[in-house]
Amino acid sequence: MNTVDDERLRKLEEALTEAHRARHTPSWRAGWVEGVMQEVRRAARRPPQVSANGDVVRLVWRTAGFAAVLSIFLLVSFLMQSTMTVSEEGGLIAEDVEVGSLFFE
Amino acid sequence: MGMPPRMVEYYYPTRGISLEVLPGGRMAQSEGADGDLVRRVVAGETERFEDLMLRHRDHVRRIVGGHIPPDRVAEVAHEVFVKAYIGLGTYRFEEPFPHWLATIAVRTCYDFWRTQQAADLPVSTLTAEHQRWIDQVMAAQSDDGFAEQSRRQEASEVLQWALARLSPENRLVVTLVHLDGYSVREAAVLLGWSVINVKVRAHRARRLLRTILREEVVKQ
Repeated sequence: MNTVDDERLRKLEEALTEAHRARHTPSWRAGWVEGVMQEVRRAARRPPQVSANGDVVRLVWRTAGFAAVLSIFLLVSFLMQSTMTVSEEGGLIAEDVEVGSLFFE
Repeated sequence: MGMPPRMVEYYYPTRGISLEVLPGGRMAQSEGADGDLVRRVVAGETERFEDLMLRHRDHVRRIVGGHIPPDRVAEVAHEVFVKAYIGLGTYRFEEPFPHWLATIAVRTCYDFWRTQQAADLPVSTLTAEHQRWIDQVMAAQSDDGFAEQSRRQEASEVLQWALARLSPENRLVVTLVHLDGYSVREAAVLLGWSVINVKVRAHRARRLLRTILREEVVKQ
């Protein structure tokens, strides 16, 4: 692609941007507001699902967060415990080896 | 002496955020009136929502009109207001009501294009007239000739043709950042995405759009 083509492309992009900015948005048709309000009134008559849903979502997130923290805590405790056990076992084996070597002598 | 004029930020899709100069008192009244109306609607005065809608419907129409084909704007704006009503309880009074409404409008437009993509509708093709328009634009020598070409129906059709080849995410980001002129940060707020996500996507989407247009240029 040469410079001439790049220049042509730039012009096309500019024209499209201008076209976007000069676009015409249609005016409201008669009865549009009433149409929205009818649906709003219907929604108002329904039980307030939104706040209930919001509460449920918050509860789920809190429970998930608590579960995550608890699992991390348990995992860390388990790892610390097993590290200690391994090092203790290592120490015992080392003692056995030392004792063993004494017998061999 | 009156109050000095204060700048009010509004998310208008004309050229990013535009700053409206209003006398301080009027701005306070405007924000106060929105907040008061929201409180009354949430408290059960459903009919007051009509006042809110009448105050902000042109704001929503401008936003939706920037993303959605003209014949579907009323339908999508309808959806925006119904969503706004349902979610009114989540509105935080610290941010201006038009900003909150703008985020709902942009996300509803995104949902619109995702539904369109899921429906797998056939995308338009360029006609000989569109090709001729592309030729004329690229050959335009004067500013007047260029401006005249931009106002023609073919301009908007070619733009829609090119945007239809992008994914809903890319389409929205290109429209917000490159066509409307929002900053990456503003677009991120409107979309509810991270700044870095919008930045990367805006770059890739722009490159994709250039490739689509370049293929047309090369084809000629």
